[in-house]
Amino acid sequence: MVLGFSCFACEREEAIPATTSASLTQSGGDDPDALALGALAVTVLPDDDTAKPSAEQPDALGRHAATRDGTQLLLPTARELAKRELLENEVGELESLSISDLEQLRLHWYGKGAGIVFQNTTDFTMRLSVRFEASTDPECGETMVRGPIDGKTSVAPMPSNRDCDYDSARVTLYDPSNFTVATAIVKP
Amino acid sequence: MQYGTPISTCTVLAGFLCAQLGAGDLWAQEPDCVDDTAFPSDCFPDVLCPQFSNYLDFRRAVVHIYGPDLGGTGFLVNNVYCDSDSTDPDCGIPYLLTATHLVTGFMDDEVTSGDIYALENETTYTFGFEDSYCGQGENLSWEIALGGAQVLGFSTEKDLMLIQLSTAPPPEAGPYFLGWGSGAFTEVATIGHPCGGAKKIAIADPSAMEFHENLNRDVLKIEYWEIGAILGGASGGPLLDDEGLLLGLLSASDNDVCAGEQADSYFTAITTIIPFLGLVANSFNHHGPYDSNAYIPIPDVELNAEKYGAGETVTISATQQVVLTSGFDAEAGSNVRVIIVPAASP
Repeated sequence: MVLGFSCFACEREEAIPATTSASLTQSGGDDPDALALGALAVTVLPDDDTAKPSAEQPDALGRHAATRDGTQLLLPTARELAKRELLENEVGELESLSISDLEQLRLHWYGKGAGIVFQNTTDFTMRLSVRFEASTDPECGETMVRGPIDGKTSVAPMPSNRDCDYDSARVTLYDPSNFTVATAIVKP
Repeated sequence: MQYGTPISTCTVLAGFLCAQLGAGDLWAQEPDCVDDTAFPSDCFPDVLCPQFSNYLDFRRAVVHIYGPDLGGTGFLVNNVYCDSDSTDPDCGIPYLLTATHLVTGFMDDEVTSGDIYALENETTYTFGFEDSYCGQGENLSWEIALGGAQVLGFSTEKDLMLIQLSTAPPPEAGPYFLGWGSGAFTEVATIGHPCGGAKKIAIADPSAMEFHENLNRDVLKIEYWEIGAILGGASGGPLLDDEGLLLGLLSASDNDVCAGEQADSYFTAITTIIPFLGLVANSFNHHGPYDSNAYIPIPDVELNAEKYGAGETVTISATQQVVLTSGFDAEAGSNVRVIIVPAASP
């Protein structure tokens, strides 16, 4: 369930529960890589649909990066990394974006109007989901997905309701294997 | 000082503007930039005005370029490995052509490594920077700005620069890649961003165009414009025939004047551009455009400034907005219906 396209459909973003975070922190110490390795030892991962969006609740790794145009990226949760490791144990190494790949991406709000521009500067095929929100009217919220987004191409999804005053977009980026590689909040 | 014949621009900008223009004041202004806007506005018609519907697709090739100490216009150009209807991966490669003097300030000045760095790392290339409908309005417009590029080549004496954007433009921008190799045509047009503002268009009759063959750079000179005008910021824009094929690239203009006056605008001619493009053009004298056209983000806005008398029945419809402008008058007994029918999603 966690490996296919179902996550795009359900629009759920994942965060690691506090209890799991604690255990990973203990097993991995301060080294982010060690944390990821430590996560491998966790064989049972809670599938918590009620988890808060990761952008609002940094996971145990708490790693951040920024795109080339300055948008802050929150990197995958330990749980997401653990899923990847589990799959790689079964099917072999998967294509993956490095931090430097992520830092070459460009992700920003439209110059004018409501929408986001995502420039996939990597050679990887990516996907994204985006939740547009208007703080003045929660009913304006609109979610859409884009992909596959070939390497060296871009997309610029825009919400359909022109009567809403959209002022933020919660973006999740996925790698070729459909694992989350980063989340971001994009604002005008 | 009078500038040109107001009839054409009034027609372009719809009746309400003609009514707003009093005798004298606006016409007395010399064309100039005020806060990134070209004035007087009637000298610089919007590219979305109905009279220019022939150029609606071609306009999507035109890009606003803005960076540190540089600004102007550029446009996407097709390459010979992409046929117009092809799904070939060579189609959509974001080759962008502009003028070297956008970054140097003056023709023949040297391009520095700092200029190159600015273009490649600190400059935005914006699609869709235009008023949302003819004559006014910004509320429906959108702009998609891309960053990152590679300068593939430049020539200061030809005032040409070829850039490749770091990523293909998004389908939402509906990027159009100009072809070249014109045959007979009935008019020529340039589209650009005078004053660094929204996209404008100028039209000339072919009889006002001269071709000058030179050793290093062939030039097309437009003596005067029938509609529209040229100001700084429009440099780097394309000169198109009425089929949207590339004839030249705007390099300079002697006089800042409105339509009908002696402008003497100079374009680097396609005969110089093709050899400069090298492998992209491969010395093909003719090659068609490529239109990704997955989306057609053309706002359908109906402006209405008509008078309707008693007993008249009329329906005004548009897919996005109907604007009743100065001059609209529905008298008692008339029946005016306004219908907004959203277009189907692409």
